[in-house]
Amino acid sequence: MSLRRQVVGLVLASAVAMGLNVALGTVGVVVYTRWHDAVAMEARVAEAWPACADDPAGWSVQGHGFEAFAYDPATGAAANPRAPGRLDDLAAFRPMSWVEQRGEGPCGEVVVRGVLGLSRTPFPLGLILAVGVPGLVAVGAGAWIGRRFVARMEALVDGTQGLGEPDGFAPGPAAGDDELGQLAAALERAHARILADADALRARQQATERHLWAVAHDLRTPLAHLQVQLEGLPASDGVAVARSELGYLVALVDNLHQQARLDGGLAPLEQGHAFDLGQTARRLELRFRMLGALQGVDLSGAWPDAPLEVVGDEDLVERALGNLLHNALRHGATQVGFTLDAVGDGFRFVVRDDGPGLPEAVAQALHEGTELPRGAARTRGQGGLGLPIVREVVARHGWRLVVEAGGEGEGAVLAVEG
Amino acid sequence: MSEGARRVLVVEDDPALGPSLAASLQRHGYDAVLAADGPRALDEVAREVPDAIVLDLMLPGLDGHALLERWAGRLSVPIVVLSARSDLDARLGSFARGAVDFVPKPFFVEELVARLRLRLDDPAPRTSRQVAWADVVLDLDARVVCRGATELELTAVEFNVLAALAERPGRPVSRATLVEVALPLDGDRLPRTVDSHVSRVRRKLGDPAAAALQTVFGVGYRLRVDGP
Repeated sequence: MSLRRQVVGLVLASAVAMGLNVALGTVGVVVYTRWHDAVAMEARVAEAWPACADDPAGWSVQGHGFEAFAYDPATGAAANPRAPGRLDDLAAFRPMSWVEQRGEGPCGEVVVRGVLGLSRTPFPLGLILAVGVPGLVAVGAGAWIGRRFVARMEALVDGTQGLGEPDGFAPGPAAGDDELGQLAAALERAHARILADADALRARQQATERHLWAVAHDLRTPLAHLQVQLEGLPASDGVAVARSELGYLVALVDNLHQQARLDGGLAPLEQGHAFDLGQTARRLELRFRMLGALQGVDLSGAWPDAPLEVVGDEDLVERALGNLLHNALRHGATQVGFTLDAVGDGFRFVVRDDGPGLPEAVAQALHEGTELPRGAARTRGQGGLGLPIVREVVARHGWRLVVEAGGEGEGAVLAVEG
Repeated sequence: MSEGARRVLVVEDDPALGPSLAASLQRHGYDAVLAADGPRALDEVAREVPDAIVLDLMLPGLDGHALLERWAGRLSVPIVVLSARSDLDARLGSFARGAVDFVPKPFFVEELVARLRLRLDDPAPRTSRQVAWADVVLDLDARVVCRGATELELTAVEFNVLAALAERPGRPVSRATLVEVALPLDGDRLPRTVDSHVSRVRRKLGDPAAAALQTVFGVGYRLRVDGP
């Protein structure tokens, strides 16, 4: 049934309840008043009855809304001259405006007359009779309909909490053929569409990652060939520049691949393993010292003699720390140094260069953990991926990237603490 | 190729990279032999066991991991994997099958050569713990430093600093490491304290030995025992 019909039904039910209210209330008032007056009159008359013998002509009993007189049962004549006519005349006034109580006594038959009226009925009890019963009917009907409606609404609200999550949306009792049911059905369709879109996006993401991986993979061998060929050429400034540029191409390929992995929601620690960060530092020093030599930059590094084990994605960590060195190398005017030290149960990897320092916007973004400004990456050829990858990898390992110095013109000092 | 050159088997199927890499290793003094697929690599090893193997992973016939499994336990030469794959599975799979090193492509030939050298040219066991440079000889066991016939008077901390550098000749050593290994636990253990000790050591060494104790930018210090 539609909500409109349910509301119309509720209104009609209320109208019927109001009708019942009037009818039952009227009947209730009449019945109760007659009973109440009869009881009251009986009590008052019984109380005043003995006095009738002393003065039948003056005897009457007045109460709230009624008055009693004595009549002669044989002749029907009233003993009291204030009585309204003979006993037989009273029949003409019944039943609407009179009630009567008849009884034998020392003054003959007594007849009590009274006027019906609400004013003589105790108000709360009459109101209960007049309004209570039909009101209860109306409230009961409204509560039944309302409770059903609210329960379905609550079920729908609960169901929407998991909207868009697999097995997360269940409209339950909200289902039905009214507007609420239609809303639940629409939400269910939206939920299904969100899941389908998410699946499609995930598939597209995976396809992109596979594509980037394939591109990166296919580029590696020819780039390696180029590197070997260039290394075999007689040393010259041109060859050094070409090798240096090739180094950035390699970094770009690696960064594209790693960014695709990070965008794919990779969780390094779940795929991580324990590895010696000292060995990573050793490899980085070997690689970047050669790249630095091609650019006329002196790069040195130091790491502990003892293994410094960390848990994580070794490939990503090497790429991230390599990006720091790459940045420093590109902007280190003449010297770049890095240190890896064990600090308590953790480590500290610091890269320092004597270049022009970080642009203020970049340093501020790194310091505050806000988004890096577009195009603010210092390293040409990395498409601005270098520092964002560092920050992402560091964050995913639960480490910290710290800018220790390196305002513009001061040289840069960046540290990774884990 | 000089007599006694180390024989390195290059297993690489890329028709451009394989010959180039072999030629490059030749230039670096190795007797490089090329095998373009898995079966040929097996044949080459059967014909003559090389001193080292540089192995690509994705190969026709038998791939690199299959070759590693064939050679596992039967071949005791260092195998350096060279691969366009750099993912964790490729690395761990290679190490689990007996590779001693993993170099992702692309690579600097110098880096590959350096890694081969580490595996092939192990230094002879040191019988004496003496380090000499310029006109100075440092005896690590006797804890004595002599310039010519004169013994230099170094404090214990100054000797520790110099010894820490001499034990890692040519390698930069961070200030944090020097603090850790050279400074007393109950004293001032700040990196800058190391600087003042180094400064005093330099004064006591005098020229030309002091010049070998170099400051390394962003790192700490290094002792160049093969001359500045």
